[in-house]
Amino acid sequence: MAVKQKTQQNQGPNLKALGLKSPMEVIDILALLNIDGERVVNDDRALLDPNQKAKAVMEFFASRFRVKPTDLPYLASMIKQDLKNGKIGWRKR
Amino acid sequence: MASEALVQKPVVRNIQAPLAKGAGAGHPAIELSAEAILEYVTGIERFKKGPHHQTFERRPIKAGAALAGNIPDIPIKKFTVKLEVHGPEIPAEYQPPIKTNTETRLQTLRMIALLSKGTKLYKDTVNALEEEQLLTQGAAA
Repeated sequence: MAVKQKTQQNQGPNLKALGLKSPMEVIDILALLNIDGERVVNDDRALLDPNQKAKAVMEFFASRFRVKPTDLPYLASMIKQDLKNGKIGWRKR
Repeated sequence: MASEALVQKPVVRNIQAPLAKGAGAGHPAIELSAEAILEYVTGIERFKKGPHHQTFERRPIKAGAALAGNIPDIPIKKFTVKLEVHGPEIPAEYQPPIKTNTETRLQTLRMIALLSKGTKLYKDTVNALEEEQLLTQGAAA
């Protein structure tokens, strides 16, 4: 049990503590972003396939902002918090 | 004439509106500038150090609450301190005798028998003690 907990800790941050429900929520939040009119996920197929979506999000943030995949949950958490607080809002495309 | 009318007839194409606009069209989006994202990215390290990643809540203890007996759940960090004593070795005569498992069991049974005199447990304990003694005697022989 202790070994299992250790491996989970090594995999990344505690998502529950960050206010996130699942690893896919991180990808979903970041995939919804529209940065300066440019979509994070451009491909239609990538939106439907979770693996492709995750890959597209990771590649976008790594290439554009040099964000490591392990730091993405923190970014998603901050955006989610600001969304809840009303600092940033939703916009219909 | 009839053939011309056929040519002029508009061709209806089945184009789905969301796909025509692009990926994810019709779904809500979060509009952000690149600067805002950069601010978020620079804030990641600060965010990591903050209290957000901690699994427990930090609540101040109020004197009134403590007095009333409503003490909140405060996380207690458990830690162990290893003490190493360096000095001369204790001679064998001063060291406690090493007891075998049977000796310990017999002693425990005797203790139970002493404490349970006059109760139902006493008879069972005496029986167990006798059995144990017989076994040890047999093993010694």
